[in-house]
Amino acid sequence: MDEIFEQITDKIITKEELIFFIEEINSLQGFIFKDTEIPLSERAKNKAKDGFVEHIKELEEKGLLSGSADQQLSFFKNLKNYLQEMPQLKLEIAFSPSDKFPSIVREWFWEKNRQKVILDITVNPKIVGGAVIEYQGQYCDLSLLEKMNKSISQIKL
Amino acid sequence: MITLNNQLSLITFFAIALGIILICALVYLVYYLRSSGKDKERYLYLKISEEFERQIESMIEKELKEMVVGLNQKALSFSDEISESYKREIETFFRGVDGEFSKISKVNEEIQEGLMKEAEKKMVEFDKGYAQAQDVLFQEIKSRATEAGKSMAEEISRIHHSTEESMKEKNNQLKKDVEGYKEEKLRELDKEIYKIISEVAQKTIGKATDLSTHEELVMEALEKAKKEQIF
Repeated sequence: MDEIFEQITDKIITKEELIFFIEEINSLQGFIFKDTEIPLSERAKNKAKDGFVEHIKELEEKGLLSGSADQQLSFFKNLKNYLQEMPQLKLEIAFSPSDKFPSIVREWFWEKNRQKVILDITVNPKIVGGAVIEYQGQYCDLSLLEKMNKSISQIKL
Repeated sequence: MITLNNQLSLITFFAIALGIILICALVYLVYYLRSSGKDKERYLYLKISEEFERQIESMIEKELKEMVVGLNQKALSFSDEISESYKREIETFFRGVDGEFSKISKVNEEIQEGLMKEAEKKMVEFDKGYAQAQDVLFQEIKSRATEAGKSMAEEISRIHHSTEESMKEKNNQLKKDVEGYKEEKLRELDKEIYKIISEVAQKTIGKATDLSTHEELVMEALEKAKKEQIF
């Protein structure tokens, strides 16, 4: 099941995307038990966002959403738990990144640690450059502001 | 106290009253004898003629006048005697008083002289005693003043010494406080300067850096974090 979940969550990179996906899963509870003879993706049209409907359709095509409504609900619950348990890498950066940048970071992390992470990116121009990194309780300020402050404090006035 | 004139008046009054009483008695007697016709059988009365009655009345009047004149003369002579006697008595009294007064004056003079002499003696003694007391007092004051001066000098010296020490301590404390204040202000100044430099650097560096450079910097930070075993 984890492999399936990995495949599903492969496109979920940032925390915003994660929150969005979990909200969509929560919204399924409203109609998962209604008109069960109709495919879930069809029922989800006009009720959920298009991106999510596409996800559901993909899961149906892969045969991952077959079975009763209870089984479907259980599937989504497990998926939600899997997503919530994924480690998060907090990055405080000084600029608004490009669309590709989160993917680059995530790939770099996978290469170095063989671990998929959700990126929690916040923009703070005051740090000038570099990043403030937090991962599983570990904190590290590698911003340019910190470097500058250290350099300035060494100046004797 | 009844005066001489009053005595004279009193005597005159009594004399006149006596005379009047006598006349009234005689008149009453005549009237009684005349009017008591009913009591012929019980009382013996004498019928008096009108001529006799007139004679008696004139006689009585004459007698009374003489009596009054006599009484007046006697009263006057009596009052003269009394006043003379009174004058004599008064003169005698005043003579006596003068004598006594002169005696008292003499005695008073003697007493005064005696008192003056006594007072002079006492004054002399008092002056001697006062001079001695002054000397003693002066000596006492002198010795006490000397002692007081010594102790005051010691006290002043002690106070001066303690004040000096206290001033030194306060001075040292003040210096420390000033130094501390100076250091604190310098630290605050440094902070401000660092803050300004930091803000200027942020603004200039932040603006000058492009997107790709930023991304490179982030990747470098990630590499460094990996080396530091953050993950």
